[in-house]
Amino acid sequence: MKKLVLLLMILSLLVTTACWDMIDIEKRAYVLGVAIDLYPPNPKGRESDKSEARQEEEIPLEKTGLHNGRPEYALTVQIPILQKAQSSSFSGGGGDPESDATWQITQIGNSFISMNLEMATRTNLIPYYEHLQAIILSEDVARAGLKNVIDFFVRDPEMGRRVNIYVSHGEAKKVLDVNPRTEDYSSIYLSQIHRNTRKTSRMVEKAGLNKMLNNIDLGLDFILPAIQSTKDEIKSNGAAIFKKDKMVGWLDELELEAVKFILNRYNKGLITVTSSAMDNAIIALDIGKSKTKIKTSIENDLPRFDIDIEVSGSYAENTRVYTQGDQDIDLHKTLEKDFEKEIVSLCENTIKKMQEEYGVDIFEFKQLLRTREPAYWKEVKNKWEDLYPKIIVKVKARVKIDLIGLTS
Amino acid sequence: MKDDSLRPVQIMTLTASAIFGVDILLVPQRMARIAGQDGWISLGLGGLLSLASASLIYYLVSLYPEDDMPNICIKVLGRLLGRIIMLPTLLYTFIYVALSFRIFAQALLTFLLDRTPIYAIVLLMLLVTAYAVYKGIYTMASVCDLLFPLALITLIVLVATTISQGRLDYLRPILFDNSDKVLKGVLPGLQEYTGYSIIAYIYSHSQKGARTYKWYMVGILIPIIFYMLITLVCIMNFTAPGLEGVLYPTLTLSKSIEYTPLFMERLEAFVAVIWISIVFASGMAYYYAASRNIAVFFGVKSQYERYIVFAFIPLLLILAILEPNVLKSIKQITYLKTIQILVAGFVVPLLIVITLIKRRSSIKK
Amino acid sequence: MISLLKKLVGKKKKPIIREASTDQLKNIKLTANIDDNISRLKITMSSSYDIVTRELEIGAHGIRASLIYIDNLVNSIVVQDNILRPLTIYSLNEPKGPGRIDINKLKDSMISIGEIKEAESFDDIVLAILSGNVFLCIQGYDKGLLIGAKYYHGRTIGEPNTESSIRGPQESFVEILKVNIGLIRRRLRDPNLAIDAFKIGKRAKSDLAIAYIRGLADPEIVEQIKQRVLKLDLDGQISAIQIGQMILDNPNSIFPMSQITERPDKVVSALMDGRVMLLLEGAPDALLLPVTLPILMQSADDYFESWIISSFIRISRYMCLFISTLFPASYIAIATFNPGMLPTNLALSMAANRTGVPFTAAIEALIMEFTIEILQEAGVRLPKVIGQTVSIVGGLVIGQSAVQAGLVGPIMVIVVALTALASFTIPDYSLGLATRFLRLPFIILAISFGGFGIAIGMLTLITYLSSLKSFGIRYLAPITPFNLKDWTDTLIRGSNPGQNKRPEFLKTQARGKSKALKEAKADEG
Repeated sequence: MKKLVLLLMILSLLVTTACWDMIDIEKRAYVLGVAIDLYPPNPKGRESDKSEARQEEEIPLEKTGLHNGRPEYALTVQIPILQKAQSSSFSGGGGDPESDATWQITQIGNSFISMNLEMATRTNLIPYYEHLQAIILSEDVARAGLKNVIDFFVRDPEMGRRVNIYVSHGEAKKVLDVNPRTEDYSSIYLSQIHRNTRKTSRMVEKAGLNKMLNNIDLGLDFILPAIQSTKDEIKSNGAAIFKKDKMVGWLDELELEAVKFILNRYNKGLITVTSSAMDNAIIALDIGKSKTKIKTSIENDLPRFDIDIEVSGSYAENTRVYTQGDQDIDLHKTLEKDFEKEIVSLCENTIKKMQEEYGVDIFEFKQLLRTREPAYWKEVKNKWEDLYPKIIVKVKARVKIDLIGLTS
Repeated sequence: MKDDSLRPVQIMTLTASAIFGVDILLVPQRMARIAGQDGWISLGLGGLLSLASASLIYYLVSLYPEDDMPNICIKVLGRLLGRIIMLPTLLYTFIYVALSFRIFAQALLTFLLDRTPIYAIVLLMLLVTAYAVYKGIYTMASVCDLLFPLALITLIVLVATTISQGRLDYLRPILFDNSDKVLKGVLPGLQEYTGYSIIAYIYSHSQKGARTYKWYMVGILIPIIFYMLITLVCIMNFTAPGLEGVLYPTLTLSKSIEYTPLFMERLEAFVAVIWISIVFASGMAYYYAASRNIAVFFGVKSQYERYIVFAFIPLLLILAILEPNVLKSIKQITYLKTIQILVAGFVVPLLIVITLIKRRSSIKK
Repeated sequence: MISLLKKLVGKKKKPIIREASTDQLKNIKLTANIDDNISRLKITMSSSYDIVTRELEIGAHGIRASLIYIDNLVNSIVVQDNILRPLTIYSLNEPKGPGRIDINKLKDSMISIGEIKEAESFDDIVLAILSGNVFLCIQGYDKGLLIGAKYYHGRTIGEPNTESSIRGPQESFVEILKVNIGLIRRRLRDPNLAIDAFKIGKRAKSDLAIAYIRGLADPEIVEQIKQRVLKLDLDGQISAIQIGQMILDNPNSIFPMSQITERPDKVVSALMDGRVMLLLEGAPDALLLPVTLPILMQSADDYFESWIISSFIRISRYMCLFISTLFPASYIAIATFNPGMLPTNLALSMAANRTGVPFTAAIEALIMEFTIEILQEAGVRLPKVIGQTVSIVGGLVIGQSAVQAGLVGPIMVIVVALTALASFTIPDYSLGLATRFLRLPFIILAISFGGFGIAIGMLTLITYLSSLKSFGIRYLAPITPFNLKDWTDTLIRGSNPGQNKRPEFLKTQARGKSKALKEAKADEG
C-alpha cells in the first residue's frame, strides 16, 4: 500500500512539474533577420515609399522603458507570419502577393537585450533566435562603432556564430521590408545571395559573425558586405571598410575584387580589358583558379610584401570582333600581359587608397607580419599606425589563358 | 553464468571514456588562457607526462593483481594509515561526480534546455549513472564499448568540418616568445587527463598481460590526441585571444559549422546528444571509483556494496547544486584535479617503494 | 480478502468428484480378469463416450481378449487391418492347440504393427491410451499389450504465417510433434542430433522435445535447460513459448529472451550454430535458446541474396529498430524543444503546417499513437472478410480526415505511420512488440525533457540491454563485448555464404564447421 502511494506521488510529480521547456513549434516567433538603425530619426522602412509615411518621432508601441540613458538605436526584428505561408502552400502558391509574409517589429532603446526582450511584450509568439539569418546595420550605426551593438549577439547562446552581418546603404529597416520575388522572407533571401560567390568574386563571401569577431579579437581591420535594397530586390554592393570597429568608407565592386585577390579569397570571377590590339574590343577573362602568395620580408627596416597572384582562366568574351579559330599565340601572350597589367594596377590602386586615404589595413598585412616576422613585429607593434602608410608592397600577376578563341 | 574478464579493448574504451568528460567543453578555453595560441602544445606535453604517470600506476596495480586501489592502500599501509591516504582520493572522486554533472547541467541549460531546473537534470544523470554502476563493471564496460565509437566518430566529424573553416594562420607564430607560458601550461594540461587513474580500479577485473598495457596506453593516447585537435581547431576558428572569452568553446564550435552542402547544417544537435553520453561515461567511471573507495573505507560487506551507489544520490545532488556560480564550480574542479595529480605523483610511488621493500625482505626470509 | 468473503458466505456442500492422479494409478495393476480390467480402465478415464472397447476371440483357441482405445486418436484402418484382422481372422488358421496362447507369440508374430510393448500398471496404460495407443488385454493374463496406432488429425504443412520469406523453403511447423520433428530430421541427417522428450504438465502430459547437436551445443547450457524443465510443476501448457517463459533467466524483461519460430529451416540453422530447440506437442512454435539481439534481427532472406545487398538491408533494419522506438519521441523533442536543430526552411514549413492545430505536439503524438495501437489490435482480431474495410477506414478516415479537420498536423500522421511500418520490418515479432511498448516511455521522456530526456532514456536502455544475459551469453553479443570475428553475421553479412566459423559467443565446442565431426569424434575417442 505504501509503495503504491509513493509511486503515485512520484508519477504525479513527473506529470505536473516536467515539460518546463515545451513550446510548440508554431508558437515560436522565429526571428529571421535583425536590422539596427540609429534612433533619431525613426526608421520608416518601406513605408516611406507609400503615401502615408510615419510622421511621428516616437510611436508609443515602440518605446522601451529604459533604466538610464536616452534611446539611441532602433532595432527591427523580422518574424514570419506562418498562416500566410501555410495558405500559399495549400493553394499552390496563390498567396496574396501584396500582403506581407513577415512582420517587422521595431523597438527603440539603447541596450540591445532590453530591446529584444521588449519585443516579447508585443507578440503572442515566443521569440526564438536560433534561426537568425542576417544582422543588418545601417551605415550610420556602422560608423558609430560596432562595439556597442555586437555584444548581445555574441553572448546569446541561441544564435551561434554563423549569423551573417551586413551593412546597408541607407536605412537598415528598408532591407527587411523588401518583398522578394523568389523567396518568402527577405532575410533568407539576403543570406543566400552570397552563395553566388561561386560565380563571381564581387561580393564578400560568407561574412559570418565568426570571421568578424576573429578580426576584432586580433585587432585587425576588416570588411563587411554592403547591401543596397529596393522594393523587391537586394543587391550586394561591394563592402564596407572597418577600422578597428568603426566604419570608415566603402569599397566598390572592383576594389573588392582586388582585396579578394590579395587575401587569396578570390573564387571565380571576371576581369575585362580593353584591347587595343583588337580594335578596342572588350575582352573578358573568366577566371577559374586564382592563388595568391605573399612573401614577407624586411627591407631597410620597413616591412615589404611581395604579392604574387597566379590566375588561370578562359577567354570568355570578345565584344567587337567575332573571332573564330583565333589561335594566334602572340595574341594570346599579349592578352595575358594586358590582363596582368589590369590586375596589378587594380590591386596597387586599391592598396594605395587604403594606405593613404583611409589608413586601413584590410589586407591583413599586420597579421602576416606578426606571424611571419615575429621578432620584427615585437619591436614595431606599437608603431603600426605610423608604419602602415610606409610599407612597401609590390604586386605581380601571372595570367594563364587556358582556352582561347574556340567557340563551343 | 560465468563472466569473462575485461578484454584489453575494453580497458581502452573504459580509460578513454573516463578521461573524456565534461572537460572536453572547457579545455580549449583553459589552455588558451594560459598559453595563448600554443595551448595545444601544452596539452601534448601534459599528455606525455600523463602517460608516464599512468605507467607508474599500472605498475603498482600489476603488483597486486587481485586488488584495486583502495585495497592496495590498506594492504600496504595498514588499516589506519591506508584509510588516511585514501581519504583525498575518496573525496576527490566523490565530489568530482557531483561537480562534473553540475557543470554539464549548466552547459546543457545554456544550449539545449532553458527553464528546466538544474536539480532535475543532475538528478536524472545521477539516477542513470547509479543504475549503470549498480549493474556492475562488466555492464559498464559493455556500455562504454557501445558509446565510445559513437563519441569518437562525432568528434572526428566535428573536427573535420571545422578544421577547414579555420585558419592555420591563427596558430602562428608557433612557440615564439611563448615557451615559458607553454611550460606553465604543462601541469594544467596534465590535469586534464586525470581519468587515467581509473585503471587502478579495473585492473583486477581485466585479463592481465602485455596486451592490456598496450591498450591502456592507447586509451590514454586517444584523448590526448583529441584534446589537442579540438584545442587546435578552436584556436583556428576563434583565434587565441577570442577563445579566452568563450565559455564553452566546443559547443560554440559546433554551432558555428557552416556546412551547407549537407542537409544537416545544424550538426550541433548531434554533438549535443553524443556529448551527453560522454559525460555519462566519465561520470560512471568516477562514480564506480567513488563507490569502491567508500565501500573499502567503511568496510561495507560485499553483498551490500552494490546498493551504496543509490544511497549517495541525495548527497551528490546537494553537492551539485551547492555552488550557484558556475565559474567557481569550474575552478573547484581544477583544484580537485590538482589533488589527484598530487596523489598520483606522491602516493603511488610511495606505495610502489613500500611494496618492493616488503617483497624483497620477504624474499630474503 | 477472498477468504474473508468465503467465511462470510459460508461453505456450500459440493458434490465430490474424485480425480485419478498418477500416483494413485501407479499402484493399480492389471488383474487376470479382463472384464474387471476393462471396466476399471473405463471408469478411470471418466467413462467418456469416445472410449471404444472391442471384445474378440483370438483364433482357434477361442481365448477372450479385449481392445480398448480412444476413437479419434487412432488410425481406424490400422486397427482393423493390422490388429483385428490378424487376431481374429488370420489366427483362425492356426492349428488348434492347448487353450492358452503365448503373449510373446502375439507380440512377436501376430500383430503387424511397429510399436508394441507390454504393460501392467495402470498409469502407463492410461497415459498410453490417452495418447492414442490401443490396449489389448487377454483373459487370464495380468499383462497387456500396448500397440501404437496413433493418428493425429491436424493441419497439413503449409506456409509460415508470421515469418514469410521471399526465397527459401516455405514450410512451417504444424501442431503435431511427430511431423515437426520429421521436418527437422529431413534437413539434418546428423547422427549427433539428439532429441530428448519430456512430459510436461500433470494433466496435459504433453510431449516436449528438446533438440540439440551433441558436440556443438554447449553442454552446460543444455544441462541447464533440462534441469529447469524438469523442475517445472504445471498442469499443462499450450505452447513451447509458455515453457520458455518459465525457464528463462529474466522472465520480466520486455525484450524477448527466446527466439520463436515456425520455420524448420531456421531451427536447423540454429541447431547447427550450437543452439537448443524446444518444441511442444500441440503448437507450431519452436523455441530457440539462447538468444541475442543480433540473432533476433536476422532474417532468412539475408542468406539467399548477395552479401553486399544483404548487409545493406540488414543495416537499414537496424535503423528501423531505432526509428520504431525513437521517431515520435524525436519529433516531439525537436519540434517543441529545439526547432533550432532543423534547417530553417524545414522549421518554418513545419510550423506553418501546425498553425491552427489545437493540441500541443505531445498530445497529438499520444493520440496518434493510441490510434495506431487500436488499428493494430483490431487488425489482428478481425475476420478476414472485414480486413480490407478496416485498412481503408483506418487510413482514410483517421489519417486524412483528421488532418483536414485540423485535429492533427499532417507531419504527425507521417511520423506515426512510418514508425508503425518500421516496427514491422523487425524480423522477430516479439522484438517489434518490445519497441512498440518502449515508444511510450520515450515519448513521455521527450515531453518532459526534450532531447536530453531521450538521451537519458537511451542510456538507460543501453545499460539495461548490456546487462541482460540469456543462459550466460550476453544479449548484445557480439556488439559488446566486442568480438570482431563474430561481426560477419550481425550488422553485415559475411561474404562466405557457408561461413566457416560458428559464432564465438555461443561457446560452441567445435569452431570450424567442417571439422565438427572429426573433433567430436576426437572428444569421445
